[in-house]
Amino acid sequence: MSDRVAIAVGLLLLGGAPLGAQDSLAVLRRMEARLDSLTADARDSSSAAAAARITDTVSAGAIRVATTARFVPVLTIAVARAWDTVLVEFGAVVQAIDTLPVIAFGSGESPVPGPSAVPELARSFARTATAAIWQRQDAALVRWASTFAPTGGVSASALAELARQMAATPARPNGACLDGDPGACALALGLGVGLDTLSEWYAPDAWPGLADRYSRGVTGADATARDRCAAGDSTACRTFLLPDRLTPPAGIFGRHYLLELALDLGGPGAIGRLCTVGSGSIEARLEAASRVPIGTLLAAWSDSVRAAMPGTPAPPPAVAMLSVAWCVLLLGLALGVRQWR
Amino acid sequence: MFLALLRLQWREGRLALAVLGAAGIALPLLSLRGATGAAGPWEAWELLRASAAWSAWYPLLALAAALALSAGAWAADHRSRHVYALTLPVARWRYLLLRYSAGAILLLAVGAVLWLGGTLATVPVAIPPLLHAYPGGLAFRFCLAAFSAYTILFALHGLTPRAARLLVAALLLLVLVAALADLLALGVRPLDLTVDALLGPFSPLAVFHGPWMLIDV
Repeated sequence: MSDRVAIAVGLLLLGGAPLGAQDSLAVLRRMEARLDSLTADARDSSSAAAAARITDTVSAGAIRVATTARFVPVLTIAVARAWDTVLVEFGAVVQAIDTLPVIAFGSGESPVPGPSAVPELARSFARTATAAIWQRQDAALVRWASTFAPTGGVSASALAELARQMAATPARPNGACLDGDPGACALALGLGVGLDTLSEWYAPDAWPGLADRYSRGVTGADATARDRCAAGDSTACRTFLLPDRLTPPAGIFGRHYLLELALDLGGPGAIGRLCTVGSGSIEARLEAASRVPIGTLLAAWSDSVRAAMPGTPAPPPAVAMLSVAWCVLLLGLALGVRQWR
Repeated sequence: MFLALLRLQWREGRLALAVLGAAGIALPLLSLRGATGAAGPWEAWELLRASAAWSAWYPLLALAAALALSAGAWAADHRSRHVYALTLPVARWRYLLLRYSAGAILLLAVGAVLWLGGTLATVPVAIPPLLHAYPGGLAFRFCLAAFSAYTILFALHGLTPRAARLLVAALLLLVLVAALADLLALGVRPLDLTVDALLGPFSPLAVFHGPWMLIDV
């Protein structure tokens, strides 16, 4: 019996090896097929995702927006409106521009905005386009105003911050400017500054603080000069505090607000006029944009900033009266109840 | 009778008042600690920065004072189920007015302490030319804000159970409507609208909006 069993086991083992090999091969083939299927799925889904991401370009004028098909209807209206806004603002300046950098909008998952979102989208595209067009303008203008995109208005709290910043900055022209002297405001804004910008803007005792506050990374000789200036070495300050390293006394925001004011006064086409006064001074450009003399523009700027100075934290009489009136009303209501709890 | 109620309310809330008073003195002093105003041309930056950094604490103090004093104005009566008040030969409205006035006087005291703290903090500081110290203005805003919050809370504490239930129901309804509006993407945000209305320029809490800087331009 045992011999027969041994022979049977032997035969099984002999036949078992090819059987096992056949199974492994089948498993391998199944796995390969599965892998192929998974790869194909992944390819399909990634191409579907890609298709859901960027498939269409909506354009109007020089504005191009890369987006998915779902967003096209709403973006078509928004981009057209944005271009109309840019045309009104810049006028002939943008006619020469073929294309602006492509704006990517909307991912596969994000919901499609409704028609109520069109005005905000149009404003956003117009701002992006304006910023891109701005960067193509005259180098002196771009250097003076840095990155600028008109926002159509400046809040009272932003102006109050500007007034605080000017009051806290120990720059020579700031005090007179906040007292209402347009000439000092021009200097604070960097208009008509002479060759020695550092001395015109800041007294020597403020120089170490300026160097200390310079936040961009500097290395080597510059770093040494900055450290020596911060320690009180005026010669090092002259070396380190070059005009492009100086914070304007009214800050970049002060300049942006002057531009906003000029565009607001100038109405349609103001940016176009600002940009097309070829190689003109900043003052000439601002006059062209606003259609008022620079003195008037500066006076308006100064008046607005002074009006926005926060002053005492005591609430204005109207707010105080309203508050008292509410107190009287609510107390009256509370006293009028006849029932105890 | 007013003095008796004032004494009663003082006893009821003296611990809270002591804490509020200490905060009223400490906040301005802490906000300007180490400042002399004569440390150089950039000292104005530091003064404004410190003033701004600590400015959020003043409305919170006003709210805390209003909470403590409005609760103190009603606590004894709620505890005794108004038996003491009902035994007095005065009308309800007169009794409540006395209670309210006693709380308001204690609130004024906290405001006065804040003014004192602000004055003590700013007197030794040489304020730079374009800046000003406003201990009085800050204390005035504090008093008005605290009064507004105190009046609202005082009125809420005095609500009848039915009115309180109605108020809670209205709040729940508002939350429900807000959730529905969000689910249905109606584009309307009732909760935001309510908060805007509560803190808007014509609301009783409008006075909380605005600068709370001890030193400003």
